[in-house]
Amino acid sequence: MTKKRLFIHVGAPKTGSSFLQSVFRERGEELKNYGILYPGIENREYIVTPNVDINGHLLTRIFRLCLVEEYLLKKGEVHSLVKSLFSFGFNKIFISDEILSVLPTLAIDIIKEVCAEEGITVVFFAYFRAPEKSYPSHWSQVIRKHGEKRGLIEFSKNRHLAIWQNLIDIVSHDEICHLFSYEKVIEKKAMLKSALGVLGVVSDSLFDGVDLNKQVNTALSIKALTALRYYQ
Amino acid sequence: MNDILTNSAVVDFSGKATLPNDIAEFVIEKHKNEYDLCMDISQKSKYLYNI
Repeated sequence: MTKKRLFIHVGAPKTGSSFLQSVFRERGEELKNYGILYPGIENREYIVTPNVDINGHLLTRIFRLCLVEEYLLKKGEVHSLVKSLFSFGFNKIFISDEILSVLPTLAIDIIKEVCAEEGITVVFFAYFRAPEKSYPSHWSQVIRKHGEKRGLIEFSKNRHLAIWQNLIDIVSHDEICHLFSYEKVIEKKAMLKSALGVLGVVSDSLFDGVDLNKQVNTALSIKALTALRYYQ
Repeated sequence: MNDILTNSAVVDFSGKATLPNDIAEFVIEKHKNEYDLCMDISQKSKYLYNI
């Protein structure tokens, strides 16, 4: 019997996550031919049809709705969610949410514990980029999505992005983890290849026809620029 | 290039924002060790998948 594996792409934010997620959602049915399920979500429950890009957010949501002190109380919910992921007859499940890499790493520890107790091998993988690139990109995203009012310089000086230390913490355990430099895999083909490598899919024909030139999620929209100027 | 200055940060309409050099140095210094360690780890992945 094939051992159960849970592949979790944890980001980091602004490293091509949206691109990867959209491609795997689009090719989710083909991915099933390799024995891997990229599950979808309906009514806050996992379903077998890949219908959403960020399919890890049910897991993230458990932790985002509570304080760190309450994380351990959420272990039962994580158990239920992980069990539900493996209720579709697939032994390999792939979920993705970039926010997982910036949550306090106790969340990751709990996920690891739950998987160990369920006899599931968990495989984390993530991409990261240089701080001088990561900060501006992250800043522009929080302007656009969360109404950040601070300028880039103030944001960069005062906002601690727990990305790199979190990733180090994640890979500093016995579990299988892979880190990739975003700068090294910035070509979308290389990014897909690295993800397929993690999933253990040898053939890259899965992505035949994927538009590798399409622009996704540009760092700073005109809307964000307008908002920024308005607040100054 | 249609650059505008926003709080001294250079932002252009192609959708990219960059830190001024002095601030970039500050940010890099702050996270250098963590970033270097990530690079060390990622090199192994890079080798593994021959990217």
